[in-house]
Amino acid sequence: MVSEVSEVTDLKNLLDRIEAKLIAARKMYVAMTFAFWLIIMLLYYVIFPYVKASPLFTAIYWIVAMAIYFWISSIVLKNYTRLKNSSHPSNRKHTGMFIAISWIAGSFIGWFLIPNLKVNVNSLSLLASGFLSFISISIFGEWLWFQYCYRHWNNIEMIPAFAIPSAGIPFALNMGNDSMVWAGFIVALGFSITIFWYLYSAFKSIG
Amino acid sequence: MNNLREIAKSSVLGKPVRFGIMLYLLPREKALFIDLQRVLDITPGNLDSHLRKLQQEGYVEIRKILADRPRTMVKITDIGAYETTRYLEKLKKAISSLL
Repeated sequence: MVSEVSEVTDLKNLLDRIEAKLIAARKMYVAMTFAFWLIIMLLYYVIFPYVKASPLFTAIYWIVAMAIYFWISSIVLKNYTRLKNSSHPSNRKHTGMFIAISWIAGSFIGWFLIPNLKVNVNSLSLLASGFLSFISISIFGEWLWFQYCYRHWNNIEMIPAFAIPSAGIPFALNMGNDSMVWAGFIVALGFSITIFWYLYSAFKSIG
Repeated sequence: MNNLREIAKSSVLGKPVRFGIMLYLLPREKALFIDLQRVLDITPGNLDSHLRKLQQEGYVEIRKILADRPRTMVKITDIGAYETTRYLEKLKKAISSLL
């Protein structure tokens, strides 16, 4: 009897370890998308002085970068849902669409609505506020979808990625000509904390 | 009790080798036949018969690829991943109820 109980306990411990590894893999996958965003954003800042702020270059760069970002995110999301027992695969059709909508809404508000506001604020400050709004709305939408899909409080690691940039909006409005660079640092800070938190949670789950 | 009944009825993942195959594939998505054979330490014929069963149920896809030489690649499907994580959860609940 004692050995049977010990065998069942061993099996339970084994299943716990398997589950912990799956949780860790999920968290690392999500951390990768934020790390990739940091790479494309910081690469732009590195190239920026050499292209003399050409609007054409900026437009092409971000269109290509966003396309690659969405392609990588779709692979990550596929891997994430594979590892999470959330819903039957036939019920997951709208996941990509909802996330795309949150990014489209973020782009419209951040890159069109806010920069074109008729207010007495430096145009670069408005652009920086728009950039921070774009990131905050898009990531917040993504996070909301995760809450809805999995029906319980999860992915709290994602919160700094939208909370820190949104907290920076009022400050960016008074930053003047340096606001765009400052906004980049705020986003990098939020994303870095999120990546760190995801990695910490991943390692914590596997003990 | 319901979990125990469902586990007992599961003819697909109820076999430890098949469950092992699915758990190996779950985080990786795909693996070579030879790697699965090495990890599970079973004969090619035995592994092949289990993979055929998983393929019939739509849990995995099997195809030939050209690596260093022609190899067999096994890929987990969305349905397979879903059923494996569900089975894992049920198994855990059933074991917890026993302790």
